[in-house]
Amino acid sequence: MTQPIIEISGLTTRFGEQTIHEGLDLQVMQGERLGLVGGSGSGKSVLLNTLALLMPYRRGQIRLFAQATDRLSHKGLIRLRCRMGVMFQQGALFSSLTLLENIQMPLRTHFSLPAPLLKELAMLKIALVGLPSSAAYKYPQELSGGMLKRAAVARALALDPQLLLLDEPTAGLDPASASAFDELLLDLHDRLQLTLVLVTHDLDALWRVTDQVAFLAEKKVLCKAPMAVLSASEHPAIQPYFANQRATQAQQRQTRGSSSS
Amino acid sequence: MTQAATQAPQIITQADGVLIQGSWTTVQLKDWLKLQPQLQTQPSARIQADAMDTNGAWLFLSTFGRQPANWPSGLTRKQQDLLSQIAQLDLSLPAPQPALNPIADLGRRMVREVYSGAKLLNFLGQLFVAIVQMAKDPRHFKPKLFLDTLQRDGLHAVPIIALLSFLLGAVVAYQGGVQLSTYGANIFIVELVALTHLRELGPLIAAILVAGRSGSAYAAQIATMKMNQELLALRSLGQDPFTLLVLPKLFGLLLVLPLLTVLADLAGLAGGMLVASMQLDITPMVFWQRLAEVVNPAHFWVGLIKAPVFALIIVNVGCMQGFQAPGGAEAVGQRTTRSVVQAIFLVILVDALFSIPLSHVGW
Repeated sequence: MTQPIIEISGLTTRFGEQTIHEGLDLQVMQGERLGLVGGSGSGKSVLLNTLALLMPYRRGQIRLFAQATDRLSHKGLIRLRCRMGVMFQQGALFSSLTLLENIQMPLRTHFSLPAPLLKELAMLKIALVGLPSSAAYKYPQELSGGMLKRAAVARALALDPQLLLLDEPTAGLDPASASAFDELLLDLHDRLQLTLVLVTHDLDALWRVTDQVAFLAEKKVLCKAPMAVLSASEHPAIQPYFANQRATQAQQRQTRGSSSS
Repeated sequence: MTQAATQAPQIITQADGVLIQGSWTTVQLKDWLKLQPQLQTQPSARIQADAMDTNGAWLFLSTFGRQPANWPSGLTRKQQDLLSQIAQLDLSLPAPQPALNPIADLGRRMVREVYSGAKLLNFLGQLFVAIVQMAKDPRHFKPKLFLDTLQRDGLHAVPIIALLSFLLGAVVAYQGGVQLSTYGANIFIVELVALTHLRELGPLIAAILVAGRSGSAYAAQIATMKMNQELLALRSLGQDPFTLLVLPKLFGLLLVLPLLTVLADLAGLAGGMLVASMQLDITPMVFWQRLAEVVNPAHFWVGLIKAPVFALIIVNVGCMQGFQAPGGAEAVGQRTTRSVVQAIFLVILVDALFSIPLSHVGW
């Protein structure tokens, strides 16, 4: 029973005079692993933030979990926010709190639960994203880049959302950590029946993690298709993105990897 | 499947046994927790759960234990998988790091203060070395940056310093005037306002405002540049950050702070003059004449001589805090705050030290 978890129709966003999206349509099914790609400045992150209901938009409609989002009450909005987790590009963990406190925070704010249970649930999330338990009392500044990304996912998962939005999850990671992070996302998707939406420039991650890719250009989603279809596209805006040395190599790595395994 | 349609927990007693019904989800955690003691006494119950997430699974495990044999029947295949996966995770909580005991913490803070004093002297030394180097090769002097400092830290500070000094002069005259008039010594208001302002308040208010306005800006600017690796970039391009960032500010403030002090003196006197004419019937003309007659110009110079020293302190503290900033955005705010506190502290301290050797000058 797959039903759309995100339905965007006719979305227009504008910063001052600058139009970012115009009449953008996008539909994401439950359980999908969607990659959002596009050149720099094509409004990927803006779209992600708009989806997370963190940014105002001019026109159009966003339906999340089959609910219209434009006339939500404060309470309804909070309830909706609890059902999606957002991982920001720099992690955005609160620097004055330890990792354990960072993860407890959403639980603490929305559900009054006893302190020992909060701690256990936070530890559960730390273990789920594959961090060592010794990281629990560390502050975000003390974590390495790869650990920070995992920690950010742990916090985004604190409330067990069904939808996880990730902004450049593997940017700035070394190849080993990036690859491990891809596996983590697949593992979480598999275990928790998550729907993933990730903005990324990482072609290896696109091949490995996503099953659908939406290409943003000309202020809208030009095409939404699996990576294999999209990379063969002849559209003048899409083709240069995939018809280059790096993209071809990433594709080869992926096809070689999947045929050998 | 959606969380909105989540089912509240219930224990239903039926003919063929007990049924535990409800979603094991985050939203329902609190209600499950309330039922926990009852649930633990129902090992043979059947369970009917339409949804289960990881938080719910955890509570399930802490209620029924990690052994699948002890779990109530009726779980779906998926739910059993999730539960056994979570049961395998190692969730031992590490011991929290022990907090430093209060006395040790106090000691640590003290030592840190002493070190920061040493750093300040160290920075002062570097500053003088840079000045000497520039004197040897004056081509490195950047007139534009120097003029920038004059404008931003001097000219733009004129309104606020003039206004605050004026108000302070008025307040001192008003409070003093009340006392003086009870003795019929109204005319001494001139000495009161002139001496306090020329010797102490004028230089102090100018220095404190500049420390707050400009010293903090120096710290923030340099700390931000350090965070962006701009300082390293400057050095890699063969530019000395010191000559570029510190010396123009130092020379600028050395020139501008004495001028602002004179402004603060004048504005303070004007404030005193206004209150004297309104409250004590001393016309500005009389005020001005008495000022010239009885107030020794040495008082003015005592105040003014301190201004360049304050300028040195402000530039030194502000720039040092910037250069000392560790990476990371949170350091910028921290360093800015610290630069203001430290600069004002040192300005007042040095002012007090000055008053000892200068106490007999002008009397």
